[in-house]
Amino acid sequence: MTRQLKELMHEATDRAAFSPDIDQLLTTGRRQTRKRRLLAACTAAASVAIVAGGTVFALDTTRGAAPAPADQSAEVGSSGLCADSSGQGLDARTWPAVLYVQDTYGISSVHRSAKTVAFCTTEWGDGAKRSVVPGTGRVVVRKSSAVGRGLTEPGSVTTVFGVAPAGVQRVTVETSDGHVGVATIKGGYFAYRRVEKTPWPGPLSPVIVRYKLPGLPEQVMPQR
Amino acid sequence: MKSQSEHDYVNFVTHHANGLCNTAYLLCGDWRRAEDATQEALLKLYRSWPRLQRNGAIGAYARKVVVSTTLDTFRRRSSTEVVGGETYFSSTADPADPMGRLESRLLIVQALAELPTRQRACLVLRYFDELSVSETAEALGCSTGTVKSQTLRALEKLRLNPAFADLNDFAGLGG
Repeated sequence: MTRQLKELMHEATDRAAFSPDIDQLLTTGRRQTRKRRLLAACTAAASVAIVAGGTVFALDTTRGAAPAPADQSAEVGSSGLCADSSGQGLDARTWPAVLYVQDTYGISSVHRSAKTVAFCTTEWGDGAKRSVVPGTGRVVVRKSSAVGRGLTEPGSVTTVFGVAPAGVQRVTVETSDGHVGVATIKGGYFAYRRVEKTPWPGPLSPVIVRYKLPGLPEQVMPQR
Repeated sequence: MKSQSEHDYVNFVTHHANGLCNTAYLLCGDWRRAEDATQEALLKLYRSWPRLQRNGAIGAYARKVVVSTTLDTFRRRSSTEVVGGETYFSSTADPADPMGRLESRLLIVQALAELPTRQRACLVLRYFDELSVSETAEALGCSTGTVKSQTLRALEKLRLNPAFADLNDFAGLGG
């Protein structure tokens, strides 16, 4: 009966006991665990980037030409991934993307719906709109975290968004560390990211935005 | 994994690896393949060890992983391959002597090899590992009804095997 069947099976397996190489098991197990954790971290980072790509800030599209120096004071208006130009949080992740820029710490993107334009960053920032001269132009600055990945000092990412003047050839952004970089222009908007050695959370870093129109000297984008 | 947790894992492996390997052997009929499958299953167990320690039922999970790993390995190979291989059973005893064959330790493995995979797994888990019907169903990821019917069919086939003709009737023990 079943007892006999069991005895037969036990007879069939009667041999020197199997003893696996414990050290090899532990070594391989640890290595595989490390790989899985790394993979999980990468997957999580990618997911965050995708979600953040959908967050947006709305931006008023008033434009002007009166140049003015950038306001260096810190203005905190938003604590969300996506917000409009006034710092009002938006759930704009499903809106069509106009453009995006990215670095190792995340993505900043511009999205728009039928009536609203929004700026997004992948990290929760404490900065939002930088006030501008009404009717002349507008720049949105956000600040987000930058951690690890070779950064040994406190760091943050300053993102500068704005409306690109019609026919503009180039938009440059000068950040507080004196670096001048070229912004990405697409769909009538520009965006620029700069990793700085300034703590996050913390006050917004001052920026100066310049743009170049054909046949005209470079001008500073107005900010209040 | 924390050192204490790893110590527990080593203890588990030390005490259960051989039993798991025996189960794998009866499922695949090849010691080398059984050892490989057990090793692979133990690695999977290592990765899940912290969670298993929190949730319990380590033994059941280990057996489930060994069974699935062994059967997966078997599936990954040729679908026409006979468990244990043709040459593996060449040392079976004289067919003219049924009792002599019965004494052969390979005979049961050969008989198991002739069973469909799930029937074989049901027999091994039910009568070698002495699992209940529900535990067997859990290990195989199927219903208890399937376990009962597969076990019954397996026993009927074994009963028809000439080598086991002198044994008591296995049939009717599927439940």
